[in-house]
Amino acid sequence: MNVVIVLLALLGSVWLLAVVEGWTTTGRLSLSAPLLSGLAHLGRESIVPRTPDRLFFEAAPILFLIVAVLGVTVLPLAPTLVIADLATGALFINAALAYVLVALIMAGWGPNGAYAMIGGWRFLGQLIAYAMLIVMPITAVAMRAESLVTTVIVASQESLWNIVYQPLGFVLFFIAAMALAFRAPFDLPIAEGELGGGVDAEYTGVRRAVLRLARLTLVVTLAAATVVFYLGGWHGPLLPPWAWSLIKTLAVAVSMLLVGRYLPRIREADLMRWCWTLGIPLALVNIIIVGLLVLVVS
Amino acid sequence: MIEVTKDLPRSADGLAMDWLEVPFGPVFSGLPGGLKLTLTLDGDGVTEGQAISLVGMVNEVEEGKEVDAETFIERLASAMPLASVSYRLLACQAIERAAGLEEDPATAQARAVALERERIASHMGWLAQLGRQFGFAWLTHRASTLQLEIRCASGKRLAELAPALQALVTRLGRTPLLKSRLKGIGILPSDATGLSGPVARADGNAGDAWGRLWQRLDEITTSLDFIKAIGEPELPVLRNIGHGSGTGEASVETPRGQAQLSLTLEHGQVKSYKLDTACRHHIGLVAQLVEGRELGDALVAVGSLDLSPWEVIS
Amino acid sequence: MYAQAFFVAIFGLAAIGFGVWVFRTSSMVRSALALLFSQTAVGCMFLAMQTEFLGVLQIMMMATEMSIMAIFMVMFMMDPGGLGGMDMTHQKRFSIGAGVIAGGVAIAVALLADWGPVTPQAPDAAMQTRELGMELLGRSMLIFETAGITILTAMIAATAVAIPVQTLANGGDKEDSE
Repeated sequence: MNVVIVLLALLGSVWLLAVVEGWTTTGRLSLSAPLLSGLAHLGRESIVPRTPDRLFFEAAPILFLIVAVLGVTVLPLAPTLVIADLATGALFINAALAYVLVALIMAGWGPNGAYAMIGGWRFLGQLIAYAMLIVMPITAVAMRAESLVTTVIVASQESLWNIVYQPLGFVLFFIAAMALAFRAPFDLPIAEGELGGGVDAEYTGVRRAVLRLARLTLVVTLAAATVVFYLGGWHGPLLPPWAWSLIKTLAVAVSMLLVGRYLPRIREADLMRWCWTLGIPLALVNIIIVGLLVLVVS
Repeated sequence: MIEVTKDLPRSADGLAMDWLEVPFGPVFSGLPGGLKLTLTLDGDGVTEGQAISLVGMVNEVEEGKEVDAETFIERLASAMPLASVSYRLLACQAIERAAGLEEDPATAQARAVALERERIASHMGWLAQLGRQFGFAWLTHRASTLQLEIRCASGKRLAELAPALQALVTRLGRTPLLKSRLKGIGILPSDATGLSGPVARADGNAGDAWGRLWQRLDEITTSLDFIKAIGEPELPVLRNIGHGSGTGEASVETPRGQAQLSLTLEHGQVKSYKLDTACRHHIGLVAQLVEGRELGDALVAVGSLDLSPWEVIS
Repeated sequence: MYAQAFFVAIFGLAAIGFGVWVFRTSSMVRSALALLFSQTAVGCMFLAMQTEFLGVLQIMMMATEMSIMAIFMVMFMMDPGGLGGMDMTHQKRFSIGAGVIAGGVAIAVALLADWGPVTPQAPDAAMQTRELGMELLGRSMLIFETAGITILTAMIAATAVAIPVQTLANGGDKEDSE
């Protein structure tokens, strides 16, 4: 039962997010636009480029979608509303999302095109920049909760949300999550103005529909993770817990969409340099501060 | 393995890799339409590159075919869609001088205002293009909206739009990441010749893409002040030249730099002409600007030149 | 119990299958990703054997590690796409011999070693994670830290050795000029 509810909530969030994305890009608010454009994708010819690595080309969108959904399985909507309350939940979501990289490399290599290939390998470089900034803030979150179980992590924030307890960690995690979801300004692998669509460039028709669905799902997954780790998960007054989880997730997801509109794409070299020379030391400082707080408070 | 790779060219990082020759354009969202950039990529780095225009005028000199003066002006204006007012003005001036007409101060002023208006619109178009290259959706939307408004705006409307333009300039100054994206990119070689327009004027301070952005933004302010001081813009229309004959030469500072036209007029017909534009010289800078750069930086460098492929004469 | 054995077997076979594929393809990228999925299958075996933390860790680490290996293979090999139908195997006779001997030894150890009594009940996943943490930051710390530093040194050294000496006249690093 939980599986059905969580997946429906995920689907609903993705749809709403697609509506907002359409609204910001075209200026029209249309509730049916995502469904129509999805149908349009299905109706279009799905072109296979010349001499592709067919296996990678076909498998990549599906793998991408699967791992984005897998990430959600450990994130609770309400105290008991979680698909798999794993003892290693906070680690599991990292494991699942690491395969986004694999999917993008496959999608980049598969079509046998220069734009796509550069996009795919660019994301590997991007991972080297953001990966530590995903894992290290989560470490500090787990330190406070003294557990990797996501429901325990949410429960640990009942009195004080982590965004207040460790704001530095939140900022780093939010930025890294946007880089993981390759949203603008971190959309290096699919940069329209630099690579003509990059990894997306050679995908058309139904395969492209799957890719776009997977990408929006990934944004929702990461927004839900941000909510669970930093924004107190289901905690909130008046409304039922699941409603709070959904509202917060959508708010974070929409903010991830909007930030990119107002920023130019970051330079690859700058991303790498700032993540390693600034981000990682700050993440370590965050761990030290949280460690001291945990010791002092308990 | 060593036998196979030993003869491959080495890139700056010392790795022997397959080099890919990748076309960017003529229809590429990060570059002006009609410009074809061919880059030899070594991973994400550019080892060499060159740009050609697929839509430029073929002949700089045309002789033997007589064209009616009015037709000539229309042709030249429509051949340069990104700066049609400038080239219309250029053609009018050259023909009028050839016909031996005296300069009329009132007309000249109104024409100059139209030229400055086009300069603002053109720089807005360039900003929108920059936004497209950077995935900076807000800038693209804002600048292209303003560009369309300004293109045909009256002096009064321009005065109304001035605060919006000023706000855009201020906003760009505050945008994070923009400076790091442009600073130090596309520094012009010191031995570059034939530069004009914003590219040349920005060469004084740093001469990088960041400098060129601010040169154009400053020009927008200057042009606005000029329009405010002078008055209404008026599209250049050929004055009555009768059946005059002679040779005339004119030069106009188009949004992209100096354009020069010299022509021979016989009985009100343009007999031959010679055209020189700024983009024609600027396109030659591309090869040096992209060499050894990362792909993203190379494209920024090319974009910062504000090349109009139509104004490249091959 | 049987279900568990079944899944261990399935993932084990998948690991072997992907492992074989590493050498049966001529594309470097396919080879690297086959190795990746082989290691992922090993991680799934850990999960099937109720060692949750190790399983998830293995699955997570291998995705990035093998992808990085893939890019090195693409960078350094002349035909990463395998369009020339390159053979992944060499020194065939020696490697077959070594493979057979190593396999025999592994099977012999599996059959002949005294594995002690079967643990009736594994501690639950949370407890395992805790005990693993205590172990890693306790008496095994020195071993793990040493291993980590060694691997890091080896990686840096290998990369440094692989890159030929370059002349500074050739532009150098553009970061320096800023």
